[in-house]
Amino acid sequence: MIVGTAAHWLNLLSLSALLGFAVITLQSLTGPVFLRAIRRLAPAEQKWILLGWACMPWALTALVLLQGIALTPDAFGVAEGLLGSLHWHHADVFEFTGWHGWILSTAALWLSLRCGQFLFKHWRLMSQIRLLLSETVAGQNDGFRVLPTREAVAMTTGFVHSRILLSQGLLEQTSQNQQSVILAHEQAHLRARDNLLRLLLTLMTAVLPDLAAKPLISRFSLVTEQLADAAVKQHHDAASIAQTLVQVARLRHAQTLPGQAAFIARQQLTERVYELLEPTRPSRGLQLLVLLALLLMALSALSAMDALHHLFDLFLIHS
Amino acid sequence: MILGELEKQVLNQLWTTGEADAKQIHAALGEAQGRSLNTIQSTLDRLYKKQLLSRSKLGHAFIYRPRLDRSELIARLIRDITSDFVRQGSDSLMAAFVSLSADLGDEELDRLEALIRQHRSQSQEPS
Repeated sequence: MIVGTAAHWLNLLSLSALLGFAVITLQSLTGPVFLRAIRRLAPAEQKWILLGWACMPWALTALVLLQGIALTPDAFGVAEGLLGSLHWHHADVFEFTGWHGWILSTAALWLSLRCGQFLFKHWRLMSQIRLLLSETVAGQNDGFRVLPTREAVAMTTGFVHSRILLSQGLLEQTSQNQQSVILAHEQAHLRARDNLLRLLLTLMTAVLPDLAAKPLISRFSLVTEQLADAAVKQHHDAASIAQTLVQVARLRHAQTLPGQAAFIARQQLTERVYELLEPTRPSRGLQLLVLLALLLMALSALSAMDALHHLFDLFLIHS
Repeated sequence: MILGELEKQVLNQLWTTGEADAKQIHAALGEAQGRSLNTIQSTLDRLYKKQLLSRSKLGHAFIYRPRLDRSELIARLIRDITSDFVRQGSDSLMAAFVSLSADLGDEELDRLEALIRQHRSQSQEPS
């Protein structure tokens, strides 16, 4: 058992973890509806709403922590926070075998596991990218580097100092105009720092179960691709960009070994072509509605925290 | 697939010479860098297990040959990254012009092209 300031901090951390679990559960349950609802928004609107959604567990947890820092338990060990979202007795006593201890150790285990998985995947990908980069040769200009392979590939790699890689196979099998479309698309990713944003989103959603995180990341990837396509429309017509997309997909299809690729990105390409030809109009009303729903969800999670706290107190050992 | 620095150097050496045994590779790379023959032998063994080299026995020594050329190695790397993406469910950390894991059938690509043609003809029609 710990008593005093350290106990106050551990209790506060366990309450933050409790809120984190509540938000993650809510997000996992409402994620499919949320993703379906935002499909009718323009890609630029979707991008920031998706980032806001991913930030929510972290932002609310930080809010509770900030509240807790300013709190001092009274003479009876009772601490009361803003909006009634923090209210706990015996704030200066922490028992490892009590439910505060269980919540805290579960959260620490979950965070370590998910962050460990994220770091391993990231390290693996970066090692592969470094190897790929070491095999590139300089392109016709400083704008890109060439991968000496027959595969038709165009990509932007790196998070801070990003680079555009075009394969020799792609350069040989596409026209000058198509190459200009591809390069402009990749440059749009560089300007928007999309790889860095994808990294941040993947990191923030690492706390969500895969079932909830994957569709979210997939949607964000699609939205950043659609925005990069839209940026190319300043210099090329929509039909040419769509035609280039289909042409490159055709080249990749021809090179795919049987059973190599799952068909997960099929919907993405189709949606990109549709968005290019018939762009979604920004909808202020729907955007406000989605933002209101997010706000309501945040408030529900905050208000549920105290109820959950008391529910646990009823059935489990507190301290 | 992940390759270490020495593994890359050994592959480069074999791409240049075509074939070599551990002693020849050690003479070309290991001695100058202060690496032992054992290190070179285990590096060659790792590359063989990663199916990047083939080997045949000549007397007491193995003769190693590259199974892939540089272009094929890059293609394999891209496929490895692709299969990682497929396992993870999305192209989460890298922007690609057409998703690296995308594979649409000819029918679907034809349908999209027809849609693009239709859009072109509609936009060219006088309003």
